[in-house]
Amino acid sequence: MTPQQYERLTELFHAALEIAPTERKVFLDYISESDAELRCELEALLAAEASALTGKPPNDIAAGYLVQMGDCSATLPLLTPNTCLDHYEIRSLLGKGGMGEVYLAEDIRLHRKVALKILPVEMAASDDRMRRFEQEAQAAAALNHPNIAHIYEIGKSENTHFIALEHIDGASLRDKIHRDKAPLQELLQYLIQVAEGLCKAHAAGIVHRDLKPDNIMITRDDYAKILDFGLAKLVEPQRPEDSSRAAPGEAEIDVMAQHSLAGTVMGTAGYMSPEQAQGKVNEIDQRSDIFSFGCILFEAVTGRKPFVDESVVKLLHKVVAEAAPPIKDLNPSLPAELQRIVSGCLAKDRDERYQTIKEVALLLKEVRQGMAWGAGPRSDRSETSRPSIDPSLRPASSVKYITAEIKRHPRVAVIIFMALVAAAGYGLYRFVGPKRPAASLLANKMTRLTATGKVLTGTISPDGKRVVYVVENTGQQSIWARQVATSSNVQIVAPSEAIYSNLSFTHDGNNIYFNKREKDGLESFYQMSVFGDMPRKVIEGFSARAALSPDEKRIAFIRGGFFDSENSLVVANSNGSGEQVLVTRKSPLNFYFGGIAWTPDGKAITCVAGPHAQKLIKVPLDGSAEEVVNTPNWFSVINIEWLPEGTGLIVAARESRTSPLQVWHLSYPSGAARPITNDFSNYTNLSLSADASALIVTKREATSHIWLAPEGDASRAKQLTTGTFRQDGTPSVNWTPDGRIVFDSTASGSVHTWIMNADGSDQRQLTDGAYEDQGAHVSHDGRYIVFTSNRTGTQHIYRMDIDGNNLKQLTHGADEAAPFFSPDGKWVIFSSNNYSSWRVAAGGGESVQLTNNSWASDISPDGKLVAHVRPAGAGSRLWKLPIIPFAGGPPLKTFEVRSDSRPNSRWTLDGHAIIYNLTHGGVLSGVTNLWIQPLDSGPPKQLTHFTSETFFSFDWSRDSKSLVCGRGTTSSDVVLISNFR
Amino acid sequence: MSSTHSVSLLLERWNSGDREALDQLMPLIYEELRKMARRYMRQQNPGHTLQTTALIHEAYLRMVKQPQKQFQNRAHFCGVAAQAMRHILVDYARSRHTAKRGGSGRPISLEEGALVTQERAAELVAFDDALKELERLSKRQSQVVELRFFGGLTVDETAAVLEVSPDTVMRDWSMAKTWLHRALSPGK
Repeated sequence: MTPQQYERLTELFHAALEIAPTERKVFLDYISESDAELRCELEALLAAEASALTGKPPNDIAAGYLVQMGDCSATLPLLTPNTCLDHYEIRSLLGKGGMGEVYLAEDIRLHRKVALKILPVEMAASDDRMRRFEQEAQAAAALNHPNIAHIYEIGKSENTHFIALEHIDGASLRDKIHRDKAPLQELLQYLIQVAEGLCKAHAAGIVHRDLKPDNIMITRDDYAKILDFGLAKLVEPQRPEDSSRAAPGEAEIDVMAQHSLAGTVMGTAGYMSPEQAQGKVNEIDQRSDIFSFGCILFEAVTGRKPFVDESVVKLLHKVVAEAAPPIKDLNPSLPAELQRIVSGCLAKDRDERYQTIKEVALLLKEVRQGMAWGAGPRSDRSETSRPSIDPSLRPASSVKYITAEIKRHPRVAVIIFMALVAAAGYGLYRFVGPKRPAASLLANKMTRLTATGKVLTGTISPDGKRVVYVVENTGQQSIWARQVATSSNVQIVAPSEAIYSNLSFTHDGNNIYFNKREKDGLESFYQMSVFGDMPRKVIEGFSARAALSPDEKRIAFIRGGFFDSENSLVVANSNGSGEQVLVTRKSPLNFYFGGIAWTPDGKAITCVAGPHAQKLIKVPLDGSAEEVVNTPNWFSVINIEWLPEGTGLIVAARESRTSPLQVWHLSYPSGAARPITNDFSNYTNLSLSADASALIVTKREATSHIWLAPEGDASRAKQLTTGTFRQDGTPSVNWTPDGRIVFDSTASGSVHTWIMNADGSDQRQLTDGAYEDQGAHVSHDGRYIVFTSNRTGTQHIYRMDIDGNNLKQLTHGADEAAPFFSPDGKWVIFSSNNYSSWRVAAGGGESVQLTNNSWASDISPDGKLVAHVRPAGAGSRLWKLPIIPFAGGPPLKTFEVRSDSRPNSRWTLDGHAIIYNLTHGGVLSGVTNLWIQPLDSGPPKQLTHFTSETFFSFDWSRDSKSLVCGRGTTSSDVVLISNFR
Repeated sequence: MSSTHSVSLLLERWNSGDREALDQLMPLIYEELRKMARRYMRQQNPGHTLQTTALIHEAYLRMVKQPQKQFQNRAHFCGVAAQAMRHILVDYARSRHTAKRGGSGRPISLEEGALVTQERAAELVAFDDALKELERLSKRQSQVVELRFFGGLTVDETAAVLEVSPDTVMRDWSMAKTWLHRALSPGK
């Protein structure tokens, strides 16, 4: 055949297809007049076309593929998109399985999405089988339980049997176990739900018969849903009542034959009960499901199936005759109760199994609870039980993909990543802890070493016997040492106004390193004996957190700030000489200074990088490619320490923007994480003993409430809000013109905007949801509130009406915070954590940058001047307060103040002065008071005389008569965690 | 960020001598290949995920080892990638096929047995032969098959690559499939 002939053949072929088969002969006859040869070809093609659609699959595999694959888009007559089957309109093919094809379809009567399962013709062929199946499926359809996928309808349209099921958008349990490597507690939660669903079905006399991880879907909101109840009956061998002929082997082959037909044998056999494996159909009952459930539980806790073999016959034999391996062998840290539950499900003799799934559900709940509260044995899915999985098999989300790519092409990945996160929020604006039950403290293994609430940071000696820590008291810091066992304290550095940080022991345990920042702001790296002598300056002018190499000859640290345009990971000799840049990263992917640790072999440095300190990166010293360390999808990792054998790390990490910093055990390289702490406090400053048997962390808790002080008189101050573990007025509180108070509060779990009367009555929440709305500011006419929200995933400025309605997003930049209106209501001015300030029209639009090195606090009543603030130097307690024209230009004036927390200014009504808050006495127990600074120079004057607590926010009423403030305390102590591995 | 856009853009920059564009291109190429391979393997047999990786690696190596290669645009790139996939699979099948008959198959970096089972090797070889014949008869139809079968592209994507309408692709696909089906049917 020539190409020209083929072209003609193609034309004729398509033309013929337009014509009904019965009338094609006329068409073919017409062709044969001009071209007899082509007619033969065409007839053969049309025959092939017809047989491909209806006939038995051709032997030839490749041709078979072609027939199969056109398919979701083109050829199969009933099942192309937009065609209808009864009152279902096909949308797309979801999958193919042993039970036929499954389509996403729309129920055009009820306008809902359904999963439409089309039963294979050969299965539906037997009337008897179909009748049995329909009985079973009708019974299953009557089940109504949140953990069972609902069967809407079992129907038949022309010759096609179908089942309409609840469409579940999510991942299978199999994906959760193997692909996502979900934490054990999460998997147990799913399994408990599965058990509950089964419980309902069993109570109705329905046995699933084919329970496996693929048949369990997890919805996006974490509900487990069991699919395909009763469907297994379709492929089950039908056997005579008398099962005496069941010679071993024969039955297995029978089972195999049936399942091979369905193409599911391997997927199903591994979860089959012994009675099913032997083909003893009459013995299948709810206890068969319990066996299958045990197999799934085994897989969830060990990452492996209990019975594995390449040959199906041998596999079935194992199911029938061999005991599953003890789960302890695969994962030694699993609680003993779990082993008992698994064994109780996997007993070969169904009379020796748990008799009801209810029993299993209850036991699992107990185990999970024990793990959650840390009271019982802990769980850990160690590397041995979690085979590492090729990262390219991870879900194909762009972020995960790029994460994997960083390993291969660091530079490229950085560029791509930057583009991706250009609009992503990465601000470490502020932490608000959700409310959690106080009863969850892990009392049995956590020991408070200090209880004053005034301990900033601590470190433990390599032998785990001594602890050195920094105490802050009335604004002065001192260093203390104590024996862990005896609790005798010794002061080794006397109180002064210096600030200490980054304490660590030398490996011999006789000396400590630390950073010391003098009152004048100069910071240096010191070493001193733990017995107390004069500290020896190691590196002058050094303000980074130095991580000491295992041989103590070198240090690694981050040069440059997290909010700078770029910063670098550098290595130097331990005296600071020979500094060498390893990697430089650009904002917002900068290194985060807090998390830096040498690997135990000293060959690489592990550090944390942006955005929002989310990525854990391992940078080899030999110049080879850096590696992204697998972690769960945490929001930030703040501190890291390696376990000595290199099999994991202890980290302080935040699960989401709103969750507190908790301590985790992170397995390396699997990335499986297990919580060591589980409460509402923040834990930082990790320090491990050399054998990692003891862990020291700083535990920090903040509480604040709204207070009202008539005329700023501390003696008449009245607390308006109450409640423990709650932060009100952080970071904002604001008067409305009509004398109500708008404030930020964590009372509902996450921080949201609230409003109340000036006497504290009628407290109402204006915003809601699982994100943070904060920094509320009321417009001068009292109609609007501006605030920041991370409801899109990144933090932007929003405006709403004073009653919480008509929400509107005003900005689309990155890391936007602390908005306030101009007096005429035309502009909203806001700032960013990198100390830049901006304005945007109050109706939204393009943001315009005002300053690049200061934070805007308030605008003068005439709208002409903006009071700003910026640190006078990194980490210093000195602040500059420039007064900058709103229209632009150099500062009119700059005041300098000293405060332990960032001062915020408010203009007086006449616009002649600013009032700011200064905190003295330390970041923990500092006392805040307000000062007034006239613009035309002259000294500032103290306005208020509070003697305790820190202000997190304040505002004067419009008549200048009432001060409202968010006021509270932060307590911080060192705790020892032992027995955590 | 649309990867379609970036691939084309980067190819343009690379072709005009921007060395950095290649660095940026690599992960994108890899991503394209990954998509193709996953789609291809999904047609083959569900669950062959590891083999998908092997296939991508092999294809990736072939793609990037051709420094002189000029890709005009993403479409061109997809075409070349689909061809690479085809060659890997068919070469592999041929080597297995030969080995079965006592020949010494040339060494190949894919894991033994990973992609094509012994019995399928013969069919894949036959399929390739038939596809070559189709190529002689209608270049475009064979490209449609190559892109859809080996590249795993959708109708719309194939249309974009070949710069024809999706209708044309559907017609080509339907004809080519039937023709191949017949060419490969035992009773022919």
